[in-house]
Amino acid sequence: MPRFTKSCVLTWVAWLLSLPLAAQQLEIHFLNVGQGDAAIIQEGGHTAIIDAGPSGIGVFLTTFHIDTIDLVIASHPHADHIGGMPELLQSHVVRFYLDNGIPHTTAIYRRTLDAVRASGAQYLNATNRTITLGAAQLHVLAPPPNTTINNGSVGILIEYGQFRALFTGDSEQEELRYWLASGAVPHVNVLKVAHHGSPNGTSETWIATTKPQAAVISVGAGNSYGHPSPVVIAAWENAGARVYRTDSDGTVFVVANEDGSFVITTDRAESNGVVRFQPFEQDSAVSPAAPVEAESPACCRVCSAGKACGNSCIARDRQCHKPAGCACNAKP
Amino acid sequence: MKYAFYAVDRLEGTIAVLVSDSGATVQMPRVELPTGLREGAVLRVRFSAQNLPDWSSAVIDRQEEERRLREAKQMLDEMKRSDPGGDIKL
Repeated sequence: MPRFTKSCVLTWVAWLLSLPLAAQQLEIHFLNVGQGDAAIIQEGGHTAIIDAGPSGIGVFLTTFHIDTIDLVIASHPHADHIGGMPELLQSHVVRFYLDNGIPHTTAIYRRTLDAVRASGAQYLNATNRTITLGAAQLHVLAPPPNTTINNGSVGILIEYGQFRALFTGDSEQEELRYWLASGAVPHVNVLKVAHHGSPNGTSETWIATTKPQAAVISVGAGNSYGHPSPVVIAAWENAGARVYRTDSDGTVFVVANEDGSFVITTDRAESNGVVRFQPFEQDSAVSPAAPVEAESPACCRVCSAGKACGNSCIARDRQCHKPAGCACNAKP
Repeated sequence: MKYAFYAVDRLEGTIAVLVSDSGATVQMPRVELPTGLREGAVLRVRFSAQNLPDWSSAVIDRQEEERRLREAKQMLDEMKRSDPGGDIKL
């Protein structure tokens, strides 16, 4: 019987912890918060949130059992993006908070600033920098100087191996041109359509450069602003993107692998309604949108240690309270 | 006479989205509000005997707008100075 010294065991544990987790995946939830934006990004036990919608984000955080948030990003200080911030900051541990640094005059903005200060979160400026979230990199795309609030939206390019997703808040033509000119915008797998699908948040050059396989529009049903524009939806679809919208699809759930493949399901999809996307050829002239293939049923994740519950895995001894989703139990 | 402030959160086409000091959002047609309205403007609005905002009484209060921006900028500048800079590993 071999004897293990304490230091030997500690070395072994440290080695185990250093091994990559084979089943690790990046998850992005585009939340159905009505007319506004909110998204949760999770990788390797780390959580980031981009925008908090007009209100009600707490329900989602409870559903996903999130109590500590590593990074909160406010793309810009309009109420449909930061309305839920005071509640979020008061009820959760937030380690870092990043915004576009443009002051605003509304009471919602002031409460958000007060809540950031009271939370003790470390403030981050929206400079061109990279924030590592587990195995994912969040590249901050700084907005142009001296501009409007929408055109001052913080851009976030997520890279997870070969997979890329792009968030640009409510950016309009000026900011899209600024980023295109900087050369910082690549071809991406998933794109959040800017400004809730308004015509001023999309351009031909923007579509041609980003060429996403899936375009997500975060929008409220029956809003007063005509969002999203049918012309914008058609433009993304004509470019080969599969368009999702939170008003009709509910929350949109993306699970990505480092090889660039990913699956998408939604709140209102059939229980087997998972769409699988294959990786596109990196930096290829071939359209990335073509390899979209619908497979059903498919699993967005396979639960081996725990059991399937909705779109995620939970411990075997816990009771599942979610409706059927895209997670599957591993075959014995 | 009772007054309240409403700040212009954003302009969406012909609609102005206002935020009251209680945090409630109100959508108003821009034509019913003072001309020259822009994002961040603060409106001073009189309340009627029925305790409802009388939008025809709305005037742009530049001093209040500047006061709010000044306070917010002070808070932001203080927080910005605490930024450790560079890339961040979470």
